[in-house]
Amino acid sequence: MNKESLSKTTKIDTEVFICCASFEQRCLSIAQKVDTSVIKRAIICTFDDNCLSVENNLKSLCELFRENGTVITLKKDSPLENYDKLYDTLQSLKGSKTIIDISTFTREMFLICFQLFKQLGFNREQIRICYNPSSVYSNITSADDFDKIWLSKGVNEIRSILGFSGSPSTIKRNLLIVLAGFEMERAQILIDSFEPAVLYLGKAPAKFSNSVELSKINDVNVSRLLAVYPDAFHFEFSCVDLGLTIDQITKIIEQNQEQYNIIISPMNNKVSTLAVASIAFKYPDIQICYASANMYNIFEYSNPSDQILWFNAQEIIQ
Amino acid sequence: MNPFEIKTPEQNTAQDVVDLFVDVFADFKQVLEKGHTFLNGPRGSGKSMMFRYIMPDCQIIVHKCKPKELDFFAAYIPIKLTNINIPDLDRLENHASTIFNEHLLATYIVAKIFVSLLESYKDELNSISSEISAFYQNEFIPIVSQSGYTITADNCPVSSGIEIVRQMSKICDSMNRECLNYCKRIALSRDITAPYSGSIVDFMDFVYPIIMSLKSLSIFPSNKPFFLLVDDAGYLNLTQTKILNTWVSYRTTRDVCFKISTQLDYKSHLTINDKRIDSPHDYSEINISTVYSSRKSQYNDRINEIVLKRLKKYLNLSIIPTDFFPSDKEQDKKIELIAEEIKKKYNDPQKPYAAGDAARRYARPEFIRQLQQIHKSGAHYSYAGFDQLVAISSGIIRHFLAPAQEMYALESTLQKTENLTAIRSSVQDEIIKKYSTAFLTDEFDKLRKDVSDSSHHLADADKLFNLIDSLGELFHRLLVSEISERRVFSIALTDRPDEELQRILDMGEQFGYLHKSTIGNKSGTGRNTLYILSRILAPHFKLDPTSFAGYKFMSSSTLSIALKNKREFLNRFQKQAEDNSNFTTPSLFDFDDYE
Repeated sequence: MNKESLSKTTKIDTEVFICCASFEQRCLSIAQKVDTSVIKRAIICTFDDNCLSVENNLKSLCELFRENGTVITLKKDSPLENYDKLYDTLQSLKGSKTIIDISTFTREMFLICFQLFKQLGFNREQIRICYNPSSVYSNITSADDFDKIWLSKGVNEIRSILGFSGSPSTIKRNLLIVLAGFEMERAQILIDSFEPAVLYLGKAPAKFSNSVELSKINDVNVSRLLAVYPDAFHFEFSCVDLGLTIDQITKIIEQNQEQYNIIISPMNNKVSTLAVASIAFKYPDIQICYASANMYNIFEYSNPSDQILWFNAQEIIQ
Repeated sequence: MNPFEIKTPEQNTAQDVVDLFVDVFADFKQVLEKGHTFLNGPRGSGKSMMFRYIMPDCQIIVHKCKPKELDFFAAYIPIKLTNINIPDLDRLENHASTIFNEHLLATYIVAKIFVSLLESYKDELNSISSEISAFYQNEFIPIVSQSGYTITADNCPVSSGIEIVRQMSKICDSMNRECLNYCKRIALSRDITAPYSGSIVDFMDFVYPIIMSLKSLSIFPSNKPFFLLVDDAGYLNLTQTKILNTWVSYRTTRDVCFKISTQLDYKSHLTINDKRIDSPHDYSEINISTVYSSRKSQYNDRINEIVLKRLKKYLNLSIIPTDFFPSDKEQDKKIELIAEEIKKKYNDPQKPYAAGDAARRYARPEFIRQLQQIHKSGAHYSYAGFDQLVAISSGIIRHFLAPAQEMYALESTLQKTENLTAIRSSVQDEIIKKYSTAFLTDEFDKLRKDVSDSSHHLADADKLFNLIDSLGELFHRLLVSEISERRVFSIALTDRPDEELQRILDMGEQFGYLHKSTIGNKSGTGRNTLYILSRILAPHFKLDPTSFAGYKFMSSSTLSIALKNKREFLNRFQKQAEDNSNFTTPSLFDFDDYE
């Protein structure tokens, strides 16, 4: 992984740029740094049934990339349809230098993009993944205000992620690994829906978190979840380092995969989700699941930080 | 040990289940009878616990008999989220969807039957190893071979009954996964012309003959049905649901009965040929919420027994629940004083019951109203006390146990002991209020009501919360008003709702915010649908949970206003709240009180 200062970044050179229009301002942060004079195609994903802020950001992205921009309208709960739309668009671009900005993609959609890269035979050496982390969520900076955090409300549907459905055995029970974030309600609904035989709850301690305050907030969430699920095992993962998360989860898998179906729900930041993706490519029997939200805090979800994190696809897609 | 800790039924041993289970089958007779049954109810209403209790290992303990002396053999078929229904299967939509989904469901169920056998019978299996071996060689292998699955020498164990059953479960699992892997491959490659070379089975040539052959083994009750307990069938996809319905439509109930539980999320009652399966012709149906909301005294008795059993088992206490969960005595005295005043006011020698009846109806609402005047927030009414907590749980056992678990944990922490003999009313009140609010997930504080974003339109979740918020507020205003019938907790629609309103009402029922029933209409010519607000929301909206006899007739168009505009909805009733004419008192209809 490489880190760069967003403000100090000059033109980002690529032939294909893939991003997702969102109510978050982060959807513009990296896109605005792309050298539009060399770009062949910008794939701008957007979801249907949007609010005005998404429409405005979509318009900004279209203006940025002009005739080189292609808007792909996705549906919130139709992963296969979304896969097919992107398949048709990306098919002709597979030899190109590609950057995917995962900052404002849903976890489900960017994981589906990774499966597409693999399926279409994209050269992994030519793919880079970038991410602009948030400096703060829900405008909450202190763990004392944990109860005021809201990023999303309710769960619309829980499903496995297309391409990462694993190979669940009919004769094994389920083991659920949750990389907890800030959203206790969503995690609880997910866990109660699965009713796993074994539950692992992960938290990111301060040394592996983007900030001490964010890790304290995470800590409160995990402590509350452990109070509700006292039989759960807990482990640590990292929000900043792929390797540590991969090692920790791999240990859990190696100890349990003979006996249990392993299901992972990444509910923290995108870096930890990338680690989960890497694991899923290595262990194709495991399943990644996703809980789509009913509604998002479109006014105070996140604030862009001054960082770009870069990952090579070879670290993830195998 | 927290006596109210909730474990999933699978986590409980057979003995624990038998010790804790309260017999509810008098309320739900159809579950134990021959025939297909749908058992519907929200999470936590006790469906899975019922299924666990009728598993053979529990039934053997209950009846103190041998396995073959049972009245039925039950195999547990949990439909776990994302195990059998994955988005990759959508690729099959135009490519043999029914065939592949039926194969997946059939192999899933038979694998689970063998797993159930292993968990329920264990030692008995080894006692009939030769029978099982003969079954394996003469019945199972031919059936599997006919499906196209290749049985290798490795698949042919020569050891114990347990090992053979385990091997059969693995073979079924392998048949399931080879098909699933094919489906996943074509989902991503999009190549539906890719040939499938694995096995293919369905109900009639796989599930049914295997069950019929198993039944003839000496450990099974002879001439008794096999119950397939399909738990959480709402997690099946639409095609799998239709396939299951098709199996229900087959006349197999003499030998194989489906007992299907849903969380009111079952996708369809159509078969794969788009024919409808109907109750009672094809199956019987139980809606737990409806049963318990109309028979409150039975539910009260059940909870009372559950608490008694748990206190005895985990704390070795013989305390009656009303003593373990005492009410706020100061509040009780004040309500009693008001009741006495009301009795004097309504005393009528011609009607000896009028005074007592009025006191029961009005004392508590009057107390809440007086609190409202003293403290605008009305926040000081206490919801403590066993009877109130039972009422608040709304017929869903989990909604009693979950807050009770938290109350016990908090009281233990405060008292610094695990050996509690009671939970103080202040602790009960604090927890139940938090629980009630959390049930609605604090939505109302966070919804942006005045959205200046003109293109923002409300998601269904927003509309549902608006509806619940509007109804809750309406009922509270009625409760603290001067009208004669203040205890309104439900609405009766005078006409059929449009698609949007029906969708939201169904969602409300599915999430447990509303219960549905019917009531005779005013003209006596038919019945109207009644939507009852869940009493779990009583603390949140400051309502009286112990009795809610009144209901308000309204049109669908009026109720639809509540989906989008609470203020406008409430304004409509501002005047009407002062006029009694639109409120129906319970004496005219069959509508039970808690009294």
